[in-house]
Amino acid sequence: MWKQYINRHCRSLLTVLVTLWLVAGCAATQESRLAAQPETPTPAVEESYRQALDMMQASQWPEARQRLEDLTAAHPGLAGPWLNLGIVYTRLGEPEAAEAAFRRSIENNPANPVAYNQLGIFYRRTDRLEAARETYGAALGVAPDDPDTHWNLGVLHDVYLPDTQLALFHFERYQQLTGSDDPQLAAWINTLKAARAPVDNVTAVVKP
Amino acid sequence: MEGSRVSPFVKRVSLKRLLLSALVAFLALIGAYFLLIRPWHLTWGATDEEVRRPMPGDGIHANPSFNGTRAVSVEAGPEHIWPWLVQMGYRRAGFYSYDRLDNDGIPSADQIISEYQSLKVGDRVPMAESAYADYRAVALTLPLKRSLASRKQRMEAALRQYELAAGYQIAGVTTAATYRTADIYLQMGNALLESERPANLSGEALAEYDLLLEEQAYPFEEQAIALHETNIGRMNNGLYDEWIEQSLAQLAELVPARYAKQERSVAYVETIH
Repeated sequence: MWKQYINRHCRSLLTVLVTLWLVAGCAATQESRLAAQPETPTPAVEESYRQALDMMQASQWPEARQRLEDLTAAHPGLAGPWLNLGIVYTRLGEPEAAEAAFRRSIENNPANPVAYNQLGIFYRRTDRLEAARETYGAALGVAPDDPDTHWNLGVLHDVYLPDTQLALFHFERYQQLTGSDDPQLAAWINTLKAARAPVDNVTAVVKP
Repeated sequence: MEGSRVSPFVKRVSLKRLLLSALVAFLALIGAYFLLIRPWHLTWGATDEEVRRPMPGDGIHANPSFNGTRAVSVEAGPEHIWPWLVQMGYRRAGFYSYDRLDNDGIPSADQIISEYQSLKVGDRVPMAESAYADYRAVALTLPLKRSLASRKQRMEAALRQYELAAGYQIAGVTTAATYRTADIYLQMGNALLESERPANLSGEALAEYDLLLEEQAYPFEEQAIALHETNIGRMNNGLYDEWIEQSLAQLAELVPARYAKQERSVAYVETIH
């Protein structure tokens, strides 16, 4: 009888524990699902963000940094504050922090080509050319028609990772996408076209 | 009768004494000023160690007309003090001192003024209203030898200031100093190219004179390019500030074949997501 009593109570205890565990598990999954969803900023957060942007435009880098660090700490799921924080860190000469911030921004919103481009430019400037190429490539993956990505790849392959064909391709894509009539760009394209077929030029000279 | 004869004599003696003691007192005051008060005044607030310690800029002027070390201890880091220091000056932020004496009665600033934060060569930091002649104001006129010497002297004074600023190793100050130093060289070169030509030259002789000027100006331009390149070299450390940006823009003009191709970047993004 005692045995039965203990058994029954143990069973109910077990039931309670299992139920608790299930409930806790449900709560946990719900929580993580909530975190995965994009955060909707409150008007106060948006206002604070706008002030940070004003500080950036006024070149008040330390102030902007403080504001954006606060914003990213309180709302780590937003991509914009991370991206701007990366720009601010670059201005303040903190490369490691800048790189981490750009990466966070891309994690939070993998569809924004601007973040990839900032990271790519950052890599190029710090002489990590292959990483720059890959990052611009990732930008084209999410936004194949982003003109700035094509421009930046044109610059990369024209100056830093020389590849005449690729430089020409990307500058021409930029020209098509924007309808640019920039004479300097046209001149670069002509130079690249001339450089692309040196053999043909030579034969053309030799033939007559 | 006798007494009246003696008394003027006595009076004369005491007057002489009075004058003498006044003179002695006056000399003693002057002596005290130079021996005690002036040394104290020139080292106001500074410790003996601080007075002896070499300071940045000591070597800039061989024969200064004034030399003092005064100190105020502020409990804050250099990065907090610098914005207040850099904005100092007559009719700028003032001197945080006796404004009636130092700043024409205008109260000194009680906040950081962003317009005065980036000091560059050529900026005036007046101690008082003075006939400050900007080195740039010296146009090169004939005889070239004399105006060139005068301008070079001013250029070198400005350069020394910036060498000093660059030595402070404060982010933003170093890149600004490098940019401005490069700019000074470039302007020196430009001033040569735009200098007054001798009136009696024409045709081939004038062309030859122009060529000579270009040869003279060329090293200044080279120097400017090298300095701008130093500045943009700082990008390799991950730094990118407005001065590096301006050095890039200058290089794009000076050496378009190499530097005109720049990435398209953004100054900030609007979107929060």
